[in-house]
Amino acid sequence: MTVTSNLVPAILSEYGAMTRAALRDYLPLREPRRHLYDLVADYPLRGGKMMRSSLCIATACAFGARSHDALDLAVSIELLHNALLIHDDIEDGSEQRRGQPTLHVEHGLPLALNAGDALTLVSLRPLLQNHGRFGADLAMKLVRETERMALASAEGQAMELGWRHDNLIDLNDADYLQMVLKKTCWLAAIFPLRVGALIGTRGVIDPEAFARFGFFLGATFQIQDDLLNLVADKSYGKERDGDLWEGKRTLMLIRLFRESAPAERDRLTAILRDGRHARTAADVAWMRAQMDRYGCIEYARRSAHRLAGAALHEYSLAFAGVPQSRDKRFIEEMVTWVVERN
Amino acid sequence: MSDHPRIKRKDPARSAPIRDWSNMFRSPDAQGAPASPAGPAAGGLRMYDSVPNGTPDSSAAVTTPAAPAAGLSEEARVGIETAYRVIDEHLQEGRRAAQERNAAGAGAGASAAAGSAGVTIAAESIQEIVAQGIRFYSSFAPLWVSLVKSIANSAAAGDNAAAGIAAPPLARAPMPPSAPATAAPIIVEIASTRMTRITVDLAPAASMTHLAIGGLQALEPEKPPLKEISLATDATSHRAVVRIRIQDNQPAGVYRGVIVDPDSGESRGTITLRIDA
Repeated sequence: MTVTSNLVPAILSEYGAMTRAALRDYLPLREPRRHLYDLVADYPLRGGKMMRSSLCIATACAFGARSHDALDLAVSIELLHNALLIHDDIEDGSEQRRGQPTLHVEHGLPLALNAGDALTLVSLRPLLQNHGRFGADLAMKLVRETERMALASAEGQAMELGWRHDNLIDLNDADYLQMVLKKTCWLAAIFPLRVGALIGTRGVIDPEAFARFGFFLGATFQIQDDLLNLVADKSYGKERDGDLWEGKRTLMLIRLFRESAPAERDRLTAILRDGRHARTAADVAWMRAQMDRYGCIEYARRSAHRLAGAALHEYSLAFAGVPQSRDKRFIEEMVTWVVERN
Repeated sequence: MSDHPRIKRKDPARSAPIRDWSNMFRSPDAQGAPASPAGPAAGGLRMYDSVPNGTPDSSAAVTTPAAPAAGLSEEARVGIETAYRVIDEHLQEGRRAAQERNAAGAGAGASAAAGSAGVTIAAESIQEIVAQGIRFYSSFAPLWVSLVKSIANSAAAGDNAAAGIAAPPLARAPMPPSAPATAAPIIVEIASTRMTRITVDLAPAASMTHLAIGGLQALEPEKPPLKEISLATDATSHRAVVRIRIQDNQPAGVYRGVIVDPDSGESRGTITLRIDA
């Protein structure tokens, strides 16, 4: 049943366009372009949902700020997100991003790695701009929030890379959620909510109040993203079954290992032992079929819906007392949107 | 008076609010309450059926096709409990890290007290400096005072000058500050027996004569809102006048409200009030 209004796409489009326009001003137009700045600009100009930046702006506006107040931070979020994507694609061995070859596939690993480093540094510029906008006190709070988010993201990525490095599959849902909390939820939801609320209240509010809502929203988003990787059509923009090729520890894979018979576990372990280039199409097809056989897709879908329910509950707590507004409705409807998107 | 008999709801089985998160996501059945007609029996588990009393202002719901036919399954209960455990442990970790950092900072700060005081002053915004001018002490007794031509919104523009901070050089022209210095002043009148600090943050383009504000909400939901606040236009100066009366029994804390354009419902600014104990 589809019940989401058009508000989420409308605001994503509106705030996304604002952020994208402001973001261009931060992309250096000087030399060396061919081997650095053209690469730095590549991912940010490919588009994307602009979910993180829009959530930040909407939260600030829900608390009474104007959209421009949160724009620099929104730009910083998008730039850092894209920088991390460049590195994630290298680490995961991904081949497609937003419907095109990944940066390292197109330009080689050394140049892509360097472009990711440079984009991380470029993302600091709009963050520093907040000094002039809000004063030292709030600007420093926003920097601390950014540091906390960036470290959490790195820790989450390390958890998942470590599991793959050690070929650890015997994981449980709590392990998965802990990894997703750090790797995805902080940057995708917790951080935009926290800094948006800080900007909207000029630093008065305790940002901890948004951690639970951000966690449930971010985890729902990630599980749905993992599901789309297995079931989405071509418009998805990433490689179909790419997560299976890469051996990503998704909720479906963890469930599959748990449900499998001993001989199947052995086969799964053997398939995942080496990197993606050691896997064959037959291996991937077998894993995918086993997931259907053991109901792993449906299990993950049910989990996503449950987490979305918890997100709505935590939303009602975190935003209690905030006056009704278009931005507040957008934040609430985001929960439904993340599970309905395709 | 209506002739219809009053409809009386059955007394709930619970005798106190249920605040245990492990119970939070059980279905009404599991908590001894009658099942919702929109719940599982109606075909499928709505997303927020797992939430006590639903989600009050939620207009969105999703049907889970493979949801259990009745009540909340063991899988659902365990799934949600696991998720809450993960986030709560993470939050505790964060608190511990913050405490350790604060403890380390306190140790280091003892030898650098003078320096840190300097930093505090430098970081203080114009907003706060303005606010210091509108503190009320109990010895002044309750009275209405027309006080301040406060443009707290210009704080951001003035902060750099106050704090002596240079804006970093950027590849583009800086964004317009939150409010230009030309923003129209507003008048704040407060009646309070306690020290009170107020910050008004108004959009520069906001019409001074067509604004509205509801009550101010406390950051802590258990505290009552501050309702005696009004926003009007001064007949002679045509400036916006915010009037606030703080009762003696209003709990100390920080209260916030959003200034809106009553026609469009769009936000035009905020008011933040800090009441000291």
